[in-house]
Amino acid sequence: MNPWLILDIPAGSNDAAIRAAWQRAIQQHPPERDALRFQEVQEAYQAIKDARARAAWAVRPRPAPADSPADALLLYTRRRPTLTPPGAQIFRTWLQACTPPPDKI
Amino acid sequence: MILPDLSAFETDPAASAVLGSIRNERWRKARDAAKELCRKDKARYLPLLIAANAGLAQDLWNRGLGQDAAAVLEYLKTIAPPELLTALKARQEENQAEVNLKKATGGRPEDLAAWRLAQAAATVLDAGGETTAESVHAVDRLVTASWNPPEDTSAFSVELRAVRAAVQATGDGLWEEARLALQALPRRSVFQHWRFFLRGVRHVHLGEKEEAQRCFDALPPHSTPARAAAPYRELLHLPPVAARAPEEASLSLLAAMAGLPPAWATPLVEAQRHWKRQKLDKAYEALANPLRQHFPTNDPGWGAVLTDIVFASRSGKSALPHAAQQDLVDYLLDRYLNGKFRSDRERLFALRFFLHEDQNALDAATAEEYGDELVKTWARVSGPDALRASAIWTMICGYLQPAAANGSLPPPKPSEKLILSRIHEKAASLDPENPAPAVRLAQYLLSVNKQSAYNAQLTALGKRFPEHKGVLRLSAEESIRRKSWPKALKTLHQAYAADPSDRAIVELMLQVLQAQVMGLHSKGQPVADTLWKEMEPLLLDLPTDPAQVSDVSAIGQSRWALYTFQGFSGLAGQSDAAACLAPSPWTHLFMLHLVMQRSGFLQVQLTPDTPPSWQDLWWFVRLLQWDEASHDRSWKDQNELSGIFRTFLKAIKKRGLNRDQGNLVAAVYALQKAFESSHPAQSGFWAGVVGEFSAAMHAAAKKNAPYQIKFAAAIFPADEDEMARAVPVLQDILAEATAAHDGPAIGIINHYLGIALSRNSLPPPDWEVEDLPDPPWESGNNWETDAEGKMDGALLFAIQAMAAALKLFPKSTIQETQERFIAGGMPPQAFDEILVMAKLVARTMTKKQAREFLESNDNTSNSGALPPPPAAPLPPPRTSRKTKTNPFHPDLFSGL
Repeated sequence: MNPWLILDIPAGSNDAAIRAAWQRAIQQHPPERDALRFQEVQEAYQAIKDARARAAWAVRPRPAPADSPADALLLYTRRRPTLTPPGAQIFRTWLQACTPPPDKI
Repeated sequence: MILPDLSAFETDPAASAVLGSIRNERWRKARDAAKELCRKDKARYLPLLIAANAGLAQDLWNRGLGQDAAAVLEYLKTIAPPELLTALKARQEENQAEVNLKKATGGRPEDLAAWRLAQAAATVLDAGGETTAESVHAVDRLVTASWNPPEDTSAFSVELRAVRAAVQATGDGLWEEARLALQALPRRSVFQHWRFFLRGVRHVHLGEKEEAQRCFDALPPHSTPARAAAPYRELLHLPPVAARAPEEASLSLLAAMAGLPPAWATPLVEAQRHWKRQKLDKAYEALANPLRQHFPTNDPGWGAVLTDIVFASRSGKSALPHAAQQDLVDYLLDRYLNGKFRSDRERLFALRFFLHEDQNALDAATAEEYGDELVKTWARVSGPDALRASAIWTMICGYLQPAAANGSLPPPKPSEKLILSRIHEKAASLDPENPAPAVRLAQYLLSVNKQSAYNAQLTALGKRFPEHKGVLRLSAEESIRRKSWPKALKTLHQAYAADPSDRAIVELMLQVLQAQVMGLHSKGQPVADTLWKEMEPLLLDLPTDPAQVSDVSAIGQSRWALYTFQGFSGLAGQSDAAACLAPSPWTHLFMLHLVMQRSGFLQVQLTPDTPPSWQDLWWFVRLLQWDEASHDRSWKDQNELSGIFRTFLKAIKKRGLNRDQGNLVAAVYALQKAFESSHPAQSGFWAGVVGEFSAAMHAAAKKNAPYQIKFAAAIFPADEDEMARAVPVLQDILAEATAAHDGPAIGIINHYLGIALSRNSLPPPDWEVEDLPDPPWESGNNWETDAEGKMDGALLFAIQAMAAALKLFPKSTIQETQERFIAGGMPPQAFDEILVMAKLVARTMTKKQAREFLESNDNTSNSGALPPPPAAPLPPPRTSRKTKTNPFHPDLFSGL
């Protein structure tokens, strides 16, 4: 997954901001609670911690973060620090899509 | 109809007309007639007037004429008794509700039916009954309906409106409002599951996983809330439930929850649809067109995630087949060649993608061209950046070096060397503060024998980056080359201090220490204990399962290998310790032999009393891989090793090939992998090993042989017919393995079945190194008679002759062959290409075929365009010298 997303920091942030975001992230995900997430945070920090690392990360090939756009969206949504309420209209549309017509029961 | 009792008028002839009109529901006529009678005798005939007006009022309600009915009712209040008025009012409300409902639903029968079913369920529930699946579905339809429920005051309507208000508030994230709305529901309500669902949604948004799970787990399995909860459950990593949610609609919900703009949802749904059909090019188009400002992009966010998926490295995770990814490459290539990119950003990502995709087949000139264009395009998109440009050139260096080093491409020509130098220098000069590209440049200079430039670079690096691990390692390697052991060790200690986790440095330290020991031995000097002790903390313990040895270099760093070595050096007790550490007596014996060949010590007595197994063979392959990677063996030593292999196979045959079959499949796989990945310079040795193994397996692969042996025979085909039959044979073997529930074997067999299938569908051969055709005795293609004349007879002959020579003769003879080919008129550059082809052809050629080829062409040297290789004698059998001085080999194995 994109290290900027893992650290939840805007592109173009400077070294200090990235470091602060990394420290925040490891406090949120200490290794004793979630070792995998902690490892992910560490790798993300290593990938963008300074200008040289960022340049190398931007250039090199990256593995697909998921199997399909739908899977990636799920992954991406999970990574959001807070979930946005979808809005009444979208929510209602979703509920209607989940309600089969009487002849499909 | 609610009417007063009129039985008293049945016998009254004056009232008969009024009664007749009432019976026929002719209310106005009845009212007018009753009025006339009342004028005569109001006290007696008033009930008739009341009945006519009551009937009229109800008729007007039924026809939806509420105002007219209200006027009649007002009049009735002046003449009718209170109990009748109460009953009429109740009926009026009932009728009003029905009218309102019809108005709200637009009179659609299915909605009316749902309302009535749900309302009935509510009544049943109030009476202590239970709801049914149908009634739950009816309730769900009412909650999610697009029409608003009628504004009546019935309990059912109030609850429904409360749930719908809570849905609205939950959608907008107004949690308190939703909570207050849900408070209107009683404990037992037909809307209870909606209360759980909406609470669960709130808990998801508030990050309360356990509470959310409790709410979602309480939902009726096939209800709308259960379906709607599916993406929420996925977000929380909860197990899915039976009810399936519509995937495309869930994308819009998730996109909104992720905070994406609404405009993203439609392209995303479209892209996902194409993706499922494995149409990557269409999926790309679905995204790139509407989202051109946001896709593809490197800026963090959803656009970058989509970019990473679409432009994923093929070596990374991907559930899509190669052909689907190739479609995208072709599509982008078409846009690139025809200048159809919408923006420089799109062009940039395509270029980067092409570079990664072609990394295994890049030549220097193409790589430089790609690199230049990528640097320029990126500068146009994001502004110039020297660090990024250096990273691009460093990456290209990385792509070019392995291909040159492992022999998959011919060694660079002088013109290519110039380009390679330029690429390395660009990488180093654009980021002068970064030691990594400078170290790579030094390594390159050494690899092309530019010793003086290398020395100058190394000296400069030592001054600028005296503590950098890579520089220290380079310096240590130089000391090792010069056999300056103390200096090498000192530098390696410094490098180790910089990064104690780097096992490559540890491996070098061990090499230096072992070289020191060997040096002392060769001079007849004793080895100090401190030297051994220095090695001890650097050693690894190997697992007993060869499958867990992914990196064969670990073998050289193992206690087992070192103790074996120490045992030779006369260190008391270490031989026994090494034997204990070995996975089996036979593997230890093999290790002894490898170490012995290295150190020159030839005195060991060991007679294993356990039968040999395929697990041992598997270990042999691992040990040979390690030996090959770390030691440049002479032709003679290689022959000895394959001799041991032969002897070992004989022992297994004697014991019965069908023993220990499970590990046979794994051993076959290891052998094939070692064969495929071996360095071309060593391929002759592996071809010999594989040839022996293949012959043994083919001899044993009878009709009723175990599938493991048939598999081994299929993987190492003896001739072209065998290869052509590989697919059905492997399919049968797979069926047998499946019947035996042999999971690991099924995986491996499937892998080779895939390879065999893809080979069967290969396009006609083309004269390019990366698309090499199968050799004629494998694929049945006759190159000489190719109508298109892609490969002429002389070239075919040269490749076959060279392959035969590689198979039969030592390296020195190959050199002579080269000279003869060149003397015969072949351009020197062409020889390199022929050598690459010949190495591949030799892999499937048996020695017998090689001999037959050379014998049959012995007289054609003057008739063909090129002379055949020299008719050098076959390598002589092993001399008795080593046998005499080395009773360990092959006698050690003769006990088998």
